[in-house]
Amino acid sequence: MGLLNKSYYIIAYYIVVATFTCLAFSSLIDSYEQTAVLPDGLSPGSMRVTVSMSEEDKESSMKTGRLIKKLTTQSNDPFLLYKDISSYGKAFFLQDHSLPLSTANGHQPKQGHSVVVLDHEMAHNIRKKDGEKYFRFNNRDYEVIDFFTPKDVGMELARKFFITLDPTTNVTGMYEVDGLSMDSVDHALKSLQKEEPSLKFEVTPLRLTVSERLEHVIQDQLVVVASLLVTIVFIMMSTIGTTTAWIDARRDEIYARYLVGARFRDVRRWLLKEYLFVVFGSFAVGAMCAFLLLAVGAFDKVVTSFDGRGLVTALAFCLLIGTSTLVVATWIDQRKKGIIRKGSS
Amino acid sequence: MIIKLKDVTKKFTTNDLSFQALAGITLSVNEGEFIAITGTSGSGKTTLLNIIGCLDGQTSGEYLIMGESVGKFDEARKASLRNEVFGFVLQDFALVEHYTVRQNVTLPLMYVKDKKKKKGRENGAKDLLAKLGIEHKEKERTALLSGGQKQRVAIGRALINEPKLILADEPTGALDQKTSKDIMEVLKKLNEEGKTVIVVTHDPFVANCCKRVIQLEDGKIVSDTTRTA
Amino acid sequence: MGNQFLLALKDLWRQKGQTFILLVQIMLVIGLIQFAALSFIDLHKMKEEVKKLTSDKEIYGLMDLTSEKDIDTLMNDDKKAPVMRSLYEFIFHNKNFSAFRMSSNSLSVKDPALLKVKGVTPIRGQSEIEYVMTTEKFLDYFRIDIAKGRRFVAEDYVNKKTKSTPVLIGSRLAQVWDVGDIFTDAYGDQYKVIGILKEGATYIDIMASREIQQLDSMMISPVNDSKLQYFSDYDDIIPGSYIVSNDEAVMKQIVDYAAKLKTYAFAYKSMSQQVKHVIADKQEWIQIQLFLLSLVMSFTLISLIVSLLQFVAKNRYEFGIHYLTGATDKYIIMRITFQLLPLFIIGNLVNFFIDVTVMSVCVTFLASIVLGMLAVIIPVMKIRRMGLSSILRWKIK
Ligand SMILES: Nc1ncnc2c1ncn2[C@@H]1O[C@H](COP(=O)(O)OP(=O)(O)OP(=O)(O)O)[C@@H](O)[C@H]1O
Ligand SMILES: [Mg+2]
Repeated sequence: MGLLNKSYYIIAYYIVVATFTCLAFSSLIDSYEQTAVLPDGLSPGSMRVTVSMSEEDKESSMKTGRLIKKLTTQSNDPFLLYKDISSYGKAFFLQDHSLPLSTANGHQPKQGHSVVVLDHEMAHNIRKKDGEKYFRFNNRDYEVIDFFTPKDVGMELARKFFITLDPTTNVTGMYEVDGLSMDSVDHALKSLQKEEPSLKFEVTPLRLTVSERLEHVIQDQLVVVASLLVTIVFIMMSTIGTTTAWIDARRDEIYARYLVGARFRDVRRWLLKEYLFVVFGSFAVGAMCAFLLLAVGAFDKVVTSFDGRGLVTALAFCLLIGTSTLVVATWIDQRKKGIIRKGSS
Repeated sequence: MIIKLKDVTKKFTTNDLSFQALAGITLSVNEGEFIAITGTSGSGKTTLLNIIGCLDGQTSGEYLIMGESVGKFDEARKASLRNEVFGFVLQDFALVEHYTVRQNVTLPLMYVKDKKKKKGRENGAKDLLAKLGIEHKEKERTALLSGGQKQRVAIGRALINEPKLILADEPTGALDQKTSKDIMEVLKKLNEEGKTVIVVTHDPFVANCCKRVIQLEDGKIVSDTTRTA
Repeated sequence: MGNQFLLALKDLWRQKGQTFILLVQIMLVIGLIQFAALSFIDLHKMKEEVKKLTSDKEIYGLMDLTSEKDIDTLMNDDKKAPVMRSLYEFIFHNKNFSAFRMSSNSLSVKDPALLKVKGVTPIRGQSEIEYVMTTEKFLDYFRIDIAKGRRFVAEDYVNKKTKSTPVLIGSRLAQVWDVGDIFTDAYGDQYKVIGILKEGATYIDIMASREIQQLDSMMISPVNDSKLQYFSDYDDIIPGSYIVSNDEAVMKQIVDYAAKLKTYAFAYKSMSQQVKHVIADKQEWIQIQLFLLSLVMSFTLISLIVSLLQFVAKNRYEFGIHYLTGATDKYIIMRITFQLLPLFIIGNLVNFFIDVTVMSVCVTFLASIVLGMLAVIIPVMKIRRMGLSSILRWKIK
């Protein structure tokens, strides 16, 4: 009880710190997880293939159909091929593979038809012909088979329509391949290159490296990262004074310990133990506050889920801050007033 | 009659334990009296003085100042009594150590409403300090003064608003004999100038300076003697 | 009262370090409140603006689905300009609907007087003035009024002869130019001021950005039909145009016509649909600000309360002496409150560094009063609970 009475201020500070670090780390970890999710339903093993001409303004006569042929002969595995056709849409080719979009009715494209899957919001752009719905793109009508609601993923702009890939278009462009190994894609492209040597290609895995992912998280969560930094600065500014006062309030206890033979080191270790106990207790309350805030959806656009790892990270963060604050505070106190007399440590 | 207490009691209650500090005090003080209150430690002297000085309220009984019952006064009225009617001199001086001597002495003027009075008393502060023999310390920080000097500052502060009544709780408790004597001389002179003075003390010497001596024991008055000399 | 204020100032001075830290925290809080208030006001304004615009007619925006490669092909095709002309005519001079276009850009003008105008960016001694190039209906749809001079007339949009481009200037620019003035930009092109806009004129290019643009320090110039020559001239105007109509069918006509001419692959979107996204974006941004604000605010509040409580504890004995000499609670409470006053006053000076509005300043001011009151309540309760006789009895320093 004595400890509690002397620690109100510290407790108040650390409850706030705990609440916010819990929310902030949950949000950061959530955001980090999100960076593993690839756009347009692509799985983690997907790769990006860029096909271009080695001489800029020369046109290739090679058609996309050739590339598909090479890929299918290279491997019997089912796969998915996307080709960028506009900043709003992609074309797809499916080899025993389903279109990985969560559509409203779960309809899959029929082979050999020119079809489109549309963003709900594009619904007003369709026209009716003989009772069927069509979407017009580049002077061609595509039969609308289903709708989907796009999700923004990472830095990518969500696509609004997916149409059947026209194999007669020029082969150059940007592709994404899902379901095939890097090797088989490489082989396919190499044999394509043999047919047309001026073709150039580049294959990169779509999955980001850890450092790229961290970079994305920092960009995406700039404000959250900033608020963590603010927390650290504020804690340093506000709690050191309060912690010194906390130590002052316990001066007689410290002196009693000193009288019975404790050294500065021992006293500091004992203070640290008590302090971290207080921090830990406050953290428990703060974590509950964070949980409540999440439950009522107070910051639903910043943090959506309470993450176990976020909690652990936040706890580690608080204990770390607590330890360094106390160490600094005892050091300042010892220099200014001498927690216990100098020379005794 | 400046002060009249009728069957005043005081009970302190802390953590369900109650303690009867004053058990029925009946007392009258006339203007111009010089009274010593003595008694063993814990007999209730300070408690009585605090009630007289409106620093604390009684538990039961009636307390009249100049015929008016203190029970009816609000905080502001009590504060203005402390400001204008009473002058306090306490054992540990009750000075703000980081103020200068002058700041401490003129502190009560901060709470004087009447601008003209305030101005006049401010000008009189220097004379007052001279009278107490500490005019050369006017600008000094109070913390740096000796005990006797500090007590003079406290007396100066008690006098600045020209109170009717000086309440002193062990004014010489922290001082040596020689200094005690000086301080008592000052109080005596004030009494001769017409101020009513009540001194709480253990010290027989101090008690001897006073015309009337009231002895307390266990919160009751056991004797009340007036010397005629 | 004055006395207590002086005492409070001295108290602040005696704990300079802490005072400084509190000041920094309060400034941060006030700055953040200011930003949040501005965002709220902005959101509100935008909702109003959109409501105003779509009150009687729906507005549609074109989405350009054309691939980059196709655009490149179009760009290099010399024969496309006349085709683009007919698409342009179809959209902007159609009897069945009206359309407008705004593309904002900037021009630099060298005039020392301009450097003093708020909202004009100085760059190497020149001033960058933002301007919107518009077609006729722009002024109508954003209900932009003229304070002085005249509006554009039909011939301003087709004029082939005059050397100078007619412009309408924002109210702040009226400090520099008046109606009839002619000025020259860094490229030597001439502009003639034909009118001054009313103060507070705004527009929003909702398909392209989520910000309301203030026209006060901008200019408006007309799209000059006769100067459109190449594909790129049309490409600047057509894909971002807005079409005003109550009949959705006209949008399909435009999409079809563009496709028939083998130019753009278009789709369209309604303003009311787009605005939902923009508002959601804005709300998210506000929430992020509130998140940061509540962190800084709770910290500051705790810091203020703790520092005042520590102050009360440290100075109990001194307060006791003040009580002894005639002070009442009122005075001591004043002293506590006055300690916060200078901090909040200086804190509110932050507003000078932020582009504020009267409304947001009021909100911030009120919020800082509430914050100050919250900070003072607990210490005041503590003071009122102190028994005078015990303060003096148990001397605490
Ligand atoms: N605020 C309080 N709460 C509880 N008990 C108190 C309080 N103030 C005084 N007492 C008790 O009341 C009794 C009388 O105290 P008081 O200070 O009046 O004695 P005193 O005669 O002045 O003693 P001394 O000569 O030692 O100063 C003491 O036993 C003391 O413990
Ligand atoms: Mg006593």
